[in-house]
Amino acid sequence: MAIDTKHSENRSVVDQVGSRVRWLVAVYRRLDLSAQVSFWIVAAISVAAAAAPLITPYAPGEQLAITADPALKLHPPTPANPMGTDLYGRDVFTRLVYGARSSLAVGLLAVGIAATIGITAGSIAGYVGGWVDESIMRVMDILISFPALVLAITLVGALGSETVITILPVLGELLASLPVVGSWTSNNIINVIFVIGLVYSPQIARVTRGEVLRTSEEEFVEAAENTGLSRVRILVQHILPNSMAPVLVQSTFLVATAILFEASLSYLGLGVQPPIPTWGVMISNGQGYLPDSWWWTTFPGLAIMVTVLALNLLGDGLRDEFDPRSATDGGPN
Amino acid sequence: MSDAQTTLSDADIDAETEAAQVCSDDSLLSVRNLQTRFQTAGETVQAVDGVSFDIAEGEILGIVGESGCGKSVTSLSLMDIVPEPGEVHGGTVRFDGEDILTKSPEEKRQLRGNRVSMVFQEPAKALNPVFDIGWQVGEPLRVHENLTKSASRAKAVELMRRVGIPSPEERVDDYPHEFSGGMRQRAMLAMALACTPDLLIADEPTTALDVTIEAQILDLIQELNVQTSMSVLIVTHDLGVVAEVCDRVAVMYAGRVVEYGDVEDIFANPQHPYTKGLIDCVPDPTADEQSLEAISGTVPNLADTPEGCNFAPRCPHATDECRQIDPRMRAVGDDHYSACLWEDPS
Amino acid sequence: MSTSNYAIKRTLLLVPVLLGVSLVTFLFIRLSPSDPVVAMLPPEAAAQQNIVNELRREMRLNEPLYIQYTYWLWDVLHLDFGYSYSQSARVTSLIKSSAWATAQLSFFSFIIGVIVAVPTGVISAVKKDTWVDNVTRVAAFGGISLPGFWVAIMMILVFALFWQNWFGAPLIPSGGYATLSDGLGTYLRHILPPATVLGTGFAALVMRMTRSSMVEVLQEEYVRTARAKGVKEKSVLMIHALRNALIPVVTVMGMQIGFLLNGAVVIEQVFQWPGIGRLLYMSVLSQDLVTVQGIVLFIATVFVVANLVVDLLYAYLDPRISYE
Repeated sequence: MAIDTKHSENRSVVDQVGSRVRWLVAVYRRLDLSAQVSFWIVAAISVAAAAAPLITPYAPGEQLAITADPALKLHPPTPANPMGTDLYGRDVFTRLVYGARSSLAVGLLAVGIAATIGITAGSIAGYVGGWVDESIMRVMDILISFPALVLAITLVGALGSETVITILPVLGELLASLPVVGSWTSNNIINVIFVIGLVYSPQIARVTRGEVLRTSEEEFVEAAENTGLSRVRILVQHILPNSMAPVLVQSTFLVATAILFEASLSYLGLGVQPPIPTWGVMISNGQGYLPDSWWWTTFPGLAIMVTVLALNLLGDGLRDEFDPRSATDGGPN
Repeated sequence: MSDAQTTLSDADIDAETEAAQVCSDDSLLSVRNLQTRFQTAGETVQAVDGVSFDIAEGEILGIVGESGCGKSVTSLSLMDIVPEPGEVHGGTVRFDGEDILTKSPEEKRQLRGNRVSMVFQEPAKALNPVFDIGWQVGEPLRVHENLTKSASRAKAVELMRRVGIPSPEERVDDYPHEFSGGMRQRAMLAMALACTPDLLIADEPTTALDVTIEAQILDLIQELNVQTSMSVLIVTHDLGVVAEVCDRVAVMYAGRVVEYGDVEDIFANPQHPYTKGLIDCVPDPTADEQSLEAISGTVPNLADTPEGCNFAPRCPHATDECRQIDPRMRAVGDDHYSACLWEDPS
Repeated sequence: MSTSNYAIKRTLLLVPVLLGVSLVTFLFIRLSPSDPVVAMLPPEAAAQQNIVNELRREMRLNEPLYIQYTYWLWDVLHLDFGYSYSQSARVTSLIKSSAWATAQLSFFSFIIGVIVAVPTGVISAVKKDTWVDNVTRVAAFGGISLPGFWVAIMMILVFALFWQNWFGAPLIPSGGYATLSDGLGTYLRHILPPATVLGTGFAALVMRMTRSSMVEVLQEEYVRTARAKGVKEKSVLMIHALRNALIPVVTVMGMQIGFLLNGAVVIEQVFQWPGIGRLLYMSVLSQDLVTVQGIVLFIATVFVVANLVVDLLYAYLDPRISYE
């Protein structure tokens, strides 16, 4: 594990950034070919999502059948509309690019929430131990007793038309301050992010707890304890940074899983709601126009597959690099 | 440099000539110029570099050397079960007149566990944890003699009794984790004996055991050797084991046999500086002052052995010739061979 | 500790987990912001306050939460999950009929998954780092990364819709349920497509696990012992090595029962398979919270019990376990 925080205080910020970049490049070089290719695919999708307006001339909701040519309803792929158009004359490629925004946002934010809950719970459980550990992990056991999608559907269903923000206003303010996502706060996508994050937090908690338990045994922790540092500081400054590599690997897999999850929920109509374009809803809408308008369902499915596959292969490469012990854990879940 | 060293020997020969001098045709097992290497991405490790020796019927031969000298790989090479990426790529292993290495995989398989069998260093790992002892001890009989499951089990009980496992009728259903270390090695021996082999290869059979158990297992091996006139090859790092049970010994260093012959003669009159060093390392319980004269330095990297004699960098008597000429074993007495360039280095 | 003591201890540990699961299920639904009574009534009835009040009393919604939970748990222990107003049927009988449909589906997916995954995993391990291994690795990740519902749609597109255009008759139906009494051919044509889609992701995970477990086991000394005994290479792999390698694989299979149940929710919907997943989905859509509650508790219980069975199987497969 190369994350070294112990000797970094003396160096200037520039040096630090430089060494981080060099370290990342070194990590990249050690990845196998499939992970390297996956890295570039993930990077390309992220850039496309961020720079969507620069990539496509149309707006995601623009009905070309009205604004341009009435024949563009359910029109097969042409050079101008490389993935065809849908029932409303919207460009499928454009909606795919904008859909990447919702997919990646859900993936990253949900894993962010899962990591916040999971790392907090897992590190407290692992470091404090005793009955605290017991109670936290029993709660996690109970959450894990529900198949993830079953739990998610139930939660999303129970929330109904309310968003989590009415229950947790703090979360709402936080999300509203983010770019793109800020305008989504009244959409069900917020519930989806929150629910996926909650459902997957026990997995992060388990990994964190195990790593914290292992790291706590290390000599430098003992040394830090002898210097009289507070336990909170020891946990945050010494134990956690040295326990994060497997958690990061796990998180990469979880981003992939969360994207797949969002697509499933949206396909079922329980996820992201219009007008936000999302791959799952595109598939669900296009399904009724098979087999003639095959492009409407085919391309969003391919987009999900490529994105999720690239994230999984990248995660696998990172795992070989940082966490070879867990290679037998069976991968993403 | 002492005066005696001024006499150059005729050790400047190749591995084939060595094999021709060392081996005879009528032995049960005759290994000639055996070569085994491990090829990985960047390098080739020549673990066994032209090894030759004989084992006569009913004889116990010891192969002794430090860890990493190629003695275990040699024993695995004889049965052609060197793990990947290792491969036997030269030499012959004549067993009962036929070269094992040129046989088909199926013919080799029929020899293994049947006419030649093997026990390993750590019985705890060498036994399969999920099958009971009876199933494992009886397996060679099912494989080679087509015994039924129940017949092989009955025979397993018999074999277990023979190797001194108490109340074998009950223990036959136990799993390896329910056995003690010594009992596990007895079970391994029972398994090896199942098809009454002509040759038993024991790779560090007592290294993982404590001293009293070690003595019992060695006694058992000797006893079986006498009773069945089965030949035995014992691989060990412990000269004490050699002294106790072996008739003859091959001392290995860096993938080569450096001294070979009758045990008593070699212990009384070691010719190779490495053998002398090894013998000096053994604590003498009768001496008042223990001189644990370890051999200085470490075993050379087998991917990049030095020019000349492999032992030269560690040898107290090494000369410029030693660093240029790569010596092989030649006769230094009746049934006594040494691979030192000098007639009498001391 | 003997195996039976271990089994008893492990089973008793199940009780607190199941209690926790029931409490969580109960709370999720009762704390839902939407009013279960209003949601379950047709709009014209929901507008009449006396009907609403009557129903609230009947459902004990005015009692404190712990009383409600106790009543509910008591009923659940008697296998009474309540009444579904949206489906006009007892939840227990709804679960019973749909669970059978899902069980058949899961069974076939499981079989398909194992038949594909275990041999490929073994081959991949034996041919480690060759092109065979690399292809299966990427294929396995593909299997994990495919959105099941989309594969299902593509399957219907090609084998039902396109097939009909090309050959005049579809190879598979585009969904629906059939039983064995409809004839074996009809039955298989209905169940195999959804089972294959569900089995793909399952197979991918089991295959990865088999491979890594097998790679590890093949380096064990007892595998060398088996070779030294003259055991045929096929038996070395399929008996000596695989028997050990399967121990962790079985655990993963247990966890993946959850994967099958997850998939069932979506795949059953695509293929119109009247299983428990589809029932859950329909109930969520119609805000039939009583039914949702029953189904979720049922699925979680099945999942937890399945994991117990796997744990016990583990103890049987690995003779060392019960003594630890």
